[in-house]
Amino acid sequence: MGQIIVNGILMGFIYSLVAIGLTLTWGTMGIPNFAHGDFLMLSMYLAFWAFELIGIDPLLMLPICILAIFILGVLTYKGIISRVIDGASLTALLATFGLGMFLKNLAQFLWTPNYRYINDALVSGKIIKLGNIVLGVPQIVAAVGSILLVVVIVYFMENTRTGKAIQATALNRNTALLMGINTSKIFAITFGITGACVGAAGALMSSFFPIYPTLGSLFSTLSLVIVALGGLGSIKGALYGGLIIGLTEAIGGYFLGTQFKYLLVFLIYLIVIQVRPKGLFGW
Amino acid sequence: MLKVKNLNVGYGNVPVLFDLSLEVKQGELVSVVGSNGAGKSTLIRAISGILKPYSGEIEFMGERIDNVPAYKVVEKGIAHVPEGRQVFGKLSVKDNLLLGAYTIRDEKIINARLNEMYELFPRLKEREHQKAETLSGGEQQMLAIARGLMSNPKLLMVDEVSLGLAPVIVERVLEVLKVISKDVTVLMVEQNVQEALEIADRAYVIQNGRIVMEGPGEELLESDMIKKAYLGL
Ligand SMILES: Nc1ncnc2c1ncn2[C@@H]1O[C@H](COP(=O)(O)OP(=O)(O)OP(=O)(O)O)[C@@H](O)[C@H]1O
Ligand SMILES: [Mg+2]
Repeated sequence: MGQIIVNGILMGFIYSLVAIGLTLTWGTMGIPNFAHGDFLMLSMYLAFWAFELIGIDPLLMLPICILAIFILGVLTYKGIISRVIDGASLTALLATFGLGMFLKNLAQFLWTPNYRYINDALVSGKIIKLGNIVLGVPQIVAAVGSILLVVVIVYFMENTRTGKAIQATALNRNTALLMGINTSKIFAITFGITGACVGAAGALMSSFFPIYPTLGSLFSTLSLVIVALGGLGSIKGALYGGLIIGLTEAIGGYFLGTQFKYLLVFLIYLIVIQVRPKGLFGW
Repeated sequence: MLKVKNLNVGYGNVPVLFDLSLEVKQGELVSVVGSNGAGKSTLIRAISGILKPYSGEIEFMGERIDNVPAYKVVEKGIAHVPEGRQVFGKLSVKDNLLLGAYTIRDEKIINARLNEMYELFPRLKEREHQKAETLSGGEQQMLAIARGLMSNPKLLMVDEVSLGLAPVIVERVLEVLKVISKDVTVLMVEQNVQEALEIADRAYVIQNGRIVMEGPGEELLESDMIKKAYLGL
């Protein structure tokens, strides 16, 4: 049982990182990015091909993946979202959905639907034993990396001029404009940070998680659930939400069998939003 | 300082202001009064660049600003204190003030501004770490004004400071505005006609999107039209 809980928590931190990315754009711009998981998929493929073709370790790819998906986020905002954001709110949402479908299909077209693995990365196959609990080093590295990035993001949001401007824009876009904040630039940056989060998560996960074109669907759905569970726009909510979902998934997998682990995840979600419709830390 | 010429503006294709012209000179306190829906807020939203005019000109310090994006209008020296205060409720009082100085990069100037505001509004200093939403209505209005002043504007535009405040508080807020207007040019928009005209150097009366009267505050207070239409005398 201890093993299950530890596994759940390690995965939970990665979920937190992915969900924090999503909660930022969703909270700031009111747009849930349905392509979020597909950005993660692209980052994992980027790490995979860098390893396959030029032998760069996924850990070294971390900064490159962060930067690449940050840029992808900014381009997504500038090229797609900014053009539809003033229209009906459903339009922007559907645009991200369309983008997600496009990316999945593109990945399938370019790289086939096959599952791929990075088997001999720096951290691959290593384990640490704590009593009778076995910890995979790739998972530990990913969890620790996620925690560090979450800390960086929280610091950035709370203590920098741009972080404060993102918060102000999330709270009241028109008034933010009156403060002299270029809200459309803030949106672009926010989309970039959202991308950076999954860019990092992708590089961290690529050394122990199978890489395939449609993996994004699961992560998009899970992170939407985590954000709704934790409270829209709340970083703290995404952090705890991620841990709860990570744990639930692990426990559900243990008791119900892996193929049914999400049963418990969505059940918990449905129960929590009955009690707290705005999520655990919702405004 | 500020010249508005033949301004036509509205929401989508619903026009609200018609050929409206007005002027604010350096050092003045100018009031724009009118009843609900007359178009007062629309006017200052157009000046601050939130609304783009259909036609007409807005000139500030000799420069056309009607096509300047809202966030850049602040840099030109115009601060807009919006109707209903619109403080960032989840952020601290201090953060609200610092956001007001977003266009200023120099930490020293920002801190000096902050201290000036705390001197002008000691209440805000006492509550600097509190969330803005926990302030009373009057305190929030003070915060909104102080936040506007943080950018060190040449022109301060205030929309309906009296909204939802008790008469005593309204009086205090207006006194503060009067004090501020010694250093900063003020354009205020008010439904509270009596008070707004009393403190104004000059005033405009706006009805259904058109200016129907203008002149010195006291003069307008004496006019029959104002007495009948707005003061119920
Ligand atoms: N966001 C909006 N979209 C569409 N129409 C609007 C919008 N805001 C205001 N209007 C319309 O524009 C007209 C003028 O509104 P405005 O807010 O400028 O009036 P006001 O003089 O400020 O009134 P009040 O004293 O009630 O604040 C009104 O008819 C109003 O219905
Ligand atoms: Mg108004």
